[in-house]
Amino acid sequence: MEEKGLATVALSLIREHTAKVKPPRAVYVPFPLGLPVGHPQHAAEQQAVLDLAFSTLDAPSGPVLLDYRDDEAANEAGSPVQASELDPDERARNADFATEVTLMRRYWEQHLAATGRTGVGLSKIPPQRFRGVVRFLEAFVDDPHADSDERPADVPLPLFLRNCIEDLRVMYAEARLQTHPNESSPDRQRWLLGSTALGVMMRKVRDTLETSTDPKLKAVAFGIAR
Amino acid sequence: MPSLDKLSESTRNSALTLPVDINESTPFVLPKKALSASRVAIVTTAGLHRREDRPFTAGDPTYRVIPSETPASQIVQSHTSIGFDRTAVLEDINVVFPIDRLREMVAAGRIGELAPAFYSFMGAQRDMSVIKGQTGPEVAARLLEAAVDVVLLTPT
Repeated sequence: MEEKGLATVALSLIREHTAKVKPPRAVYVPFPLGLPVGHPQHAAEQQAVLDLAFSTLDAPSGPVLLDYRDDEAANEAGSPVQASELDPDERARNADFATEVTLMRRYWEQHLAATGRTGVGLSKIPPQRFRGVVRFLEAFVDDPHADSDERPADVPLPLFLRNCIEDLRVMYAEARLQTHPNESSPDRQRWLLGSTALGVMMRKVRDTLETSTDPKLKAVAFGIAR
Repeated sequence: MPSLDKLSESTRNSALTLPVDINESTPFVLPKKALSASRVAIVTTAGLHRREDRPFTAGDPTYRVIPSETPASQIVQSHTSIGFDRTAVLEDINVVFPIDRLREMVAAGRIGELAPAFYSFMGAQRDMSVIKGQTGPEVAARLLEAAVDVVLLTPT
């Protein structure tokens, strides 16, 4: 883009990489992966990041690499909690997955009504039919050859599995945002992975995928729980 | 992102094994206009698109066009890596696609105007050859054709 005459300004989440790539103008930010402009609903912080980023346009030459200082952010975990970092608690191990999904859907509907936004939709299955997704996942854990009538014909099984898990993960996250709006993101991640039947199911699906002889199924495992 | 030692082991290993170009030189153009007179576009690798668009898949080198007037409620993310916090964008799209902040800057006269369209690529790429050779230059050409002056690039 710069070679074509477009002045570019980049945000950087991994300073070590940016120092090697040497883009024309960049601002390193100490925020966790996923939020380069700053924390959700922190408009002043986001604007301060953008102000610093656009200030690099005044530089007479490049490469320019500035640092957005935020000592508190620099001490945050840089990436989400993963399944391997905690065990499901007793509640999660004893919870009925289908019942839990139904409950989460109610909270998710409240969140959707309140915000008008949702990230659910990758699987193309409406949440009202997620009980069918539950049955599919439970069947898959018992038999890796299991399939779903709901799978779109043009979506391969490994991708469909991933999309189903993602829709459930997002529905749960949005439900939790509705019931615990002031909870930190790491606490929300620990809740989902450690205190829900979904967290248990994600691990079971991963374990089943890892035993598969199909390399495409095995590859999906790392993207579901690690 | 905090330093690499603050990442989980799996994420740190992924970051350390990502292919990274090591460049000796940097292309650089001086802006032709002040920011307050510039047309600005966002190009992101967050795997964002309109709800009706084809989702990204892993390693997908294509891009999606997001008209700049698209409401946040109609923008979704199909970059489903569990290596980064996806819930932040569920709460506030501005964490990676600062459309509201840029609109405010236009209203305050600090940016000239927004480009008619923004673009999203998919992140976590292992092979950049198609993006470098084809889809990246296509987006650059589209931005030039739209008379964009400044491009804000956001990772995820």
